[in-house]
Amino acid sequence: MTVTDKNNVKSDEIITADQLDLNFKYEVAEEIGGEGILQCFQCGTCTATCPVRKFDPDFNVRRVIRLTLLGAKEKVLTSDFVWMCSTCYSCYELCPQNVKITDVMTALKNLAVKNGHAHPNVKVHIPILEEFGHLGEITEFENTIREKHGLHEIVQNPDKVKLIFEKRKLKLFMEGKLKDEGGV
Amino acid sequence: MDYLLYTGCTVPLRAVGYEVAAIKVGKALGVNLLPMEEFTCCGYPITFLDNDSSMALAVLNICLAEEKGLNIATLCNSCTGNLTKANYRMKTEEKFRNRINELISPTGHQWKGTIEIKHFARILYEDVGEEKMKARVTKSLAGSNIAPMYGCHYLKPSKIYDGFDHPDHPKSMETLIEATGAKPVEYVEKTLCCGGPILALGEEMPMNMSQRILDGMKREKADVAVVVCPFCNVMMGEYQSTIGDKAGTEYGIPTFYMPQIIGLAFGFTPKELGLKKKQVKKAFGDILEEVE
Repeated sequence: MTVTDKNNVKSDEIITADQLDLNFKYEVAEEIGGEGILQCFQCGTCTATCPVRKFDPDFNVRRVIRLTLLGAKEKVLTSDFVWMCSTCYSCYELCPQNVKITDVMTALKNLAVKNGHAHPNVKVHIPILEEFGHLGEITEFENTIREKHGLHEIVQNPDKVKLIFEKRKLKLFMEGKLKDEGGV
Repeated sequence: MDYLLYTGCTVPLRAVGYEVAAIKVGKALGVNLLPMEEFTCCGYPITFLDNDSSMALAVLNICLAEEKGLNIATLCNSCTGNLTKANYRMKTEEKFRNRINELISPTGHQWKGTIEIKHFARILYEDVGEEKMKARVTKSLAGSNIAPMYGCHYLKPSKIYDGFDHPDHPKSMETLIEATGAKPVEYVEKTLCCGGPILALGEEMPMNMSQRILDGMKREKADVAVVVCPFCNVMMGEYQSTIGDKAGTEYGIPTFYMPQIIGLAFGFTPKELGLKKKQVKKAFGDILEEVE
């Protein structure tokens, strides 16, 4: 039986050269934070220390880096896999090649968004921030509790957040329509 | 010592007691945590989507503090991480600095590099110190075994935190627990990730990750768990019974924020620390004779 793992790789699939985008690794390396990927020598320390991988063998950091270095762009950017990094920095601390894997994973996620593959569950954070300036609304309810504890009232103002998002052209970026800018 | 208190998004919505206790304990030790209304989200929740915007939001908040001329004290590990990382990169990477300055330019603010960001637990450990805290204890928590849970961004990436504590073998939380008279519980899972940042992608993985930590606490016979991040508390505290049901066990490990257990040792009432009397009795009933 053929099974597809979370990298979109089928168990009996052979990746052939014509599917590969040889420029992909340089695209990742151009993102600030992504540059370390070219230093990876595939030791697997990242995979060994990953607390997510402990519970899901499909989440194999070394493998996603290898697929990236090979140039399996579509597979990497459309997989669920890149979104499962919890940014714990365990691998970042231990990597003998200073790949800065957590930053590389973030670069891959950002590239996925740039190519129109933002994860629906994560995407929702943007409109919330635009509306409140925080990741949630502080209502009268919360402010009453705050007052009871002698804390100051929180009046939310998203204006500056919106100005930054506009300058960034974030709306276009999120729709996968902004390909040539950014990368910090 | 004056700091601007950066509460972020999660603390005001889910952990008011943490904020209340931090202010009380800070004041008792000469650390004034001052309110700041203009702060917005630190940007961490959108790192996954767009690091440019995420870092720009962090720098916006740093600028707001710079204009007040005060350092930032944080309560949430993720806020600490995002703000500290942004400040570090503004200082060390020119390309990054130019890009972010451009993104925040419409807000009228400009980064100057004049302030620092510190987690409140780090302030207690580094700037106040164990001796000063011990001298303030009126109700020792001796007899209680407390498991510290560090979370991730309080310690890592270590290069942005000036090496104030070891990323794999930290001791700052143990030092603070010892100051209350309680015994810190040693367990190998203490620096593992709770999975909170990927909760939006499904509960199963974070629950598994947190179960591993709770199992470690239980194995080493912890009475109480103490956290320094509201996300760790969501997983260790709010999810604990659900994780227990799944694992077929009852952990029964009450979870507190660090300033809350310090505050109890300083003689504050549960109410003054944003806690319920029942909660404190359950965790420290045998030790604290009178819980008012």
